[in-house]
Amino acid sequence: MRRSPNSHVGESPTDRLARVGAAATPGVEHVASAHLAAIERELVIMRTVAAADAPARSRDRLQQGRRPRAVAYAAVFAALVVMPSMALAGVLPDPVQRAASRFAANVGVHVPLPETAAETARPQVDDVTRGPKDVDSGKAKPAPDATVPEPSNGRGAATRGTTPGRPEPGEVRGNRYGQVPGGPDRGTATPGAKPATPASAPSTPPASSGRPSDPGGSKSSSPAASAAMSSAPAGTKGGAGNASGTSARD
Amino acid sequence: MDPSPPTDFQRVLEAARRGEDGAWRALYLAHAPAVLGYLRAQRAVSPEDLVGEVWLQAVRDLHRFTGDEGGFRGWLMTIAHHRLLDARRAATRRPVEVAEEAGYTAASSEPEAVEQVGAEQDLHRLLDGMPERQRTVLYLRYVQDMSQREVATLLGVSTPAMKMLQARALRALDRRVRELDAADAQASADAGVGALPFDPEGRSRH
Repeated sequence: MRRSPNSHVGESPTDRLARVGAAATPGVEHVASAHLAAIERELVIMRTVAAADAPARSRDRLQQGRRPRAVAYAAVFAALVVMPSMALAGVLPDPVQRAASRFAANVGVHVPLPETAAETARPQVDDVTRGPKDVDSGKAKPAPDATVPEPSNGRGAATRGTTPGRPEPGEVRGNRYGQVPGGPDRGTATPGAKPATPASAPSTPPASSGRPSDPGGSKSSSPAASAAMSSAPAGTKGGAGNASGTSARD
Repeated sequence: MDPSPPTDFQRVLEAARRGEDGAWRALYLAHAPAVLGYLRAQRAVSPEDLVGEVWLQAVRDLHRFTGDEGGFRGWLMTIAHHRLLDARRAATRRPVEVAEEAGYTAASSEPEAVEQVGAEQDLHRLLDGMPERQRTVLYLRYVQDMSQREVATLLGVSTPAMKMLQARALRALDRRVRELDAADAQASADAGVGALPFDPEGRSRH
């Protein structure tokens, strides 16, 4: 009679499973020789392949050793050449630029601060091209157009201050907002000039409201302002320009 | 802290990494029966062939293994499990007609071999009717004595999921054991009614 799996009374199911499973574990004698021979062949193949790949692997290892060195050289080059060049050009981020400027100042090398670098990088605007003697010619002045060269003033005002940033002797130059240094706006509005209507106020930042407008260089021109200037009577020379300047000031 | 001295298994493992045949023979003889038993418990069609494939892969990938002897056995079982799944997928694509059911015959006529086959049949009776994953969990946990984490890794599930699977498998095993006990008791009762005074196999009852 076949032995029942239940031959051990009181045995838990898991204990019975473990017992039966252990008894059921087969032997491998009938297949061991074949399997071990296959393992031996595999080991021989692996040794042969490993020996054949050894020079290639050593080359790879050499190249792999070179790669980190190349990266290190590139990092040193960047630190010694590229970064200082960028600092001198002032194109580093602001905190880095300031730190570089302070550090370089300790060793006597001038490295611009971010603010200075920004100033020098800003395009130089010819704020004032005429001196205080220049009088507004009353000519209609078109809106500044980057593509249209500004007409030169017959009075030679265009020749004044042609070198940006370098004032002529005796020239009073205001800042880019048209404010002449030394006090409030030295308005040069012509007596009797009518102030321009608010509608004609330029939308752009007022430019040199205290100066006689320069047909060649006024920045306050806008289509409305230019229309106002063009409609100004001939007698009120400089009035329209001044008016536009005044309105701009307002 | 002084490193613990290398165990026998560690020495054998290092020798196997160097490609020594004797080390591989020792590892094979120590762990191949468990691998074959697992594949047979899972009713693999050609378990001996799969065992050979498992060991060839172990030879190729030994450099990836680190751990103790229990971990090595779990690693072998994982390879065996994957090979079993691959074989089943291949069998579904190319059905192979099996001359007889995968019930294994004894390798020899020796009593130990016969007893082993009998135990194997009993094992199948215990595990039959269960889903494959439950069979896997029960066999690896209670026959191969693998840890929950190792079994979870083998199955590709989390440890909590494996615990739930194990709980369901234990309930199924409990039901199965009661069914078998009831069936055996009925069979014994039926056999007792028509029992012969002697055992047809020549063994005396008294």
